[in-house]
Amino acid sequence: MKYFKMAYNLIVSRFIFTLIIILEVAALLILSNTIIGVYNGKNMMYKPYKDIFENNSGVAMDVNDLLWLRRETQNSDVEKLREESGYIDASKVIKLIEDKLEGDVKVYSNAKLEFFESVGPKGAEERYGASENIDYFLLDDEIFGKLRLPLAQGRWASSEKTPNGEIEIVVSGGTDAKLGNVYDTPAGKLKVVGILTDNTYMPPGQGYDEADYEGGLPPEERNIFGYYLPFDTEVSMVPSFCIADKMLFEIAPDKYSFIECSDWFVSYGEGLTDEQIKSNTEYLKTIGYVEDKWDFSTIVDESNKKLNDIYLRMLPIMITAVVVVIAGLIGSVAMSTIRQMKTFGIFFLCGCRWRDCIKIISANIIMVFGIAVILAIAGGFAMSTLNLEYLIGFSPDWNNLIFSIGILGVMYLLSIILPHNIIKSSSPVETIKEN
Amino acid sequence: MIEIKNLTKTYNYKKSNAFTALKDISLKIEDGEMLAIVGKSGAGKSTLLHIIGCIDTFEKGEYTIDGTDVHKLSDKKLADIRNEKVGIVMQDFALVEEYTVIENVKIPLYFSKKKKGSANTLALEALEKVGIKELAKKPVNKLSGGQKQRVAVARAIVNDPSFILADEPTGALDTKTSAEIMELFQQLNQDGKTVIIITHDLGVAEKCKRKIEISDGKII
Repeated sequence: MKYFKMAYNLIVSRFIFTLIIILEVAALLILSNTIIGVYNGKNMMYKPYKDIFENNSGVAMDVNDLLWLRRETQNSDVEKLREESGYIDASKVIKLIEDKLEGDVKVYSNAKLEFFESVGPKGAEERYGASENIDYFLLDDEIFGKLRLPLAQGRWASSEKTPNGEIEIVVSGGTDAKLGNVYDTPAGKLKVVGILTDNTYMPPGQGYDEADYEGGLPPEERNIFGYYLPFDTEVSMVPSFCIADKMLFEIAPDKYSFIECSDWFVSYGEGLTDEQIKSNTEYLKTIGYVEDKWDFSTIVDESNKKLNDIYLRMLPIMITAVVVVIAGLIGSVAMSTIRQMKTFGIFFLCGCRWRDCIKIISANIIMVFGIAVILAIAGGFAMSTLNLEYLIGFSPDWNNLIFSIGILGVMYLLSIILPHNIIKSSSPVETIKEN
Repeated sequence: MIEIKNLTKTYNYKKSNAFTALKDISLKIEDGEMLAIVGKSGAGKSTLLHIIGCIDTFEKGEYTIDGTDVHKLSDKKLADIRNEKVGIVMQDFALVEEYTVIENVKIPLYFSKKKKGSANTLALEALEKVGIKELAKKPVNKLSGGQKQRVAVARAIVNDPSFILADEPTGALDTKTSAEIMELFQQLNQDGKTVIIITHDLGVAEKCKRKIEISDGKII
């Protein structure tokens, strides 16, 4: 405890210098968090699906324009639902499918908004010569809740409507959308609360409807993350889009004509027999086009390859950052020690051993690091409160924080080696005389 | 009592640039003495004080303090001697400039095993003895040279050591302040402390009970 007391005295006596080191360490913590955050940002496109895909298999289904009711469904159960309420409620259809299918199954459904006239932010689509309307990706509630793509401005959209009844949306870059803009669309009032850093961060689950269904999907196309990679040149052709929680869109008679639930997939839990899967597929075929059974491990493998590719591209940046962090920490601790050598010489004069000085420096390091951690966490949460955390990719996520605190803490403790050598090679008599 | 027999100190020992600062020194200092060690610059008097104060080592000879052979002591025991048996005052005061007066005086107490009272109380008592109790909370870098040296003396006596070692304690002070500081050392000596002062100022040396002279690393 006495070492901490002495370390405290040193901190107070050299407050400005120590404050600079504290701010430096806090900044490095935020930086390391940001690096992890950027990686996680890429990972996030995969993460929401990871739990679903890791151990399970399933099928992908295109229900086509079922919910538009432009043509009769061939499924009598769905037809019955339609007759009962005059329209088809997607959530009821999902419940129906889950009840009818055999074994442990779960249905996930993303959707798109289709408007007949241009609404909402636009601009990018004109540049790319794409369709006039922006794409509105309405994600499955469970997926949306897990998804956190890096934002340039604002925050991630909520799964609840605003007090004014607006649905929060996140918009891709390259549009004229501004934070706080509210667009009155046929599907309801949409409020922009976040703008993505990158147009290539397209939400997963929107890809396979572009594949050639006639021949089925080749394995390499089954990676639904494939063309969202930020380094893929093809993605620059992605038109602007926005993302929202599908659950907030009421598929009521006056709304359903705008909502298309085309991208569905059904996850099979473990233990389904081939017969059950075959039976399930037959049933689903009465609703829409069904891909043959997917072994999700193929998707996971392909996704991992893509993520590894991202990781390898980021590795030089991460290594550079780590080297800068280590050099910065070691340098600051060494400089601090050199500046305090006379003080340690005086301590020596008064009955301190060199090894006690090392303990004082260690206590100093622990205290400085502790304060820096508190400062970084407070800064992170302050940014979170102000909805600014995505500006620099810093997300006060405990796993992230503990990881970066652990790594940086070890590095910082290692920085004691240099002061140890400085002190060990010093003459007490000379250090006392130093000015 | 301090007893030194045939002590030799060589800097850069066994190296090509070796330099012998003290040559075959023998010296006995009884308890309660007030001794001045005089000599020209570079004579080796400060080196002798550093060895007596256990902040420097030597290669040959014997040095005992109250019967303890210093040469055989571990780092820990040497630190204990610096902390409990000797109090050292340096020419440039050797104070932590950013600390307050009382924080400087309390430094030896952090390393002390003796629990004689609260650190604040002991430090204030020491400051009272040197006549600057009212400056306790003042930053050291705001003090005059004389006040700083009084703080250094207070720090040297705060742990109630037997020996006070002073290396040119008046070297950075004017005549009047030097006289005041010497009065302080005389008072400490009257209180029973053994005081050893290194100086090249014969006026200072005259105020001590005994005087020895060092030249070229030898007592003459």
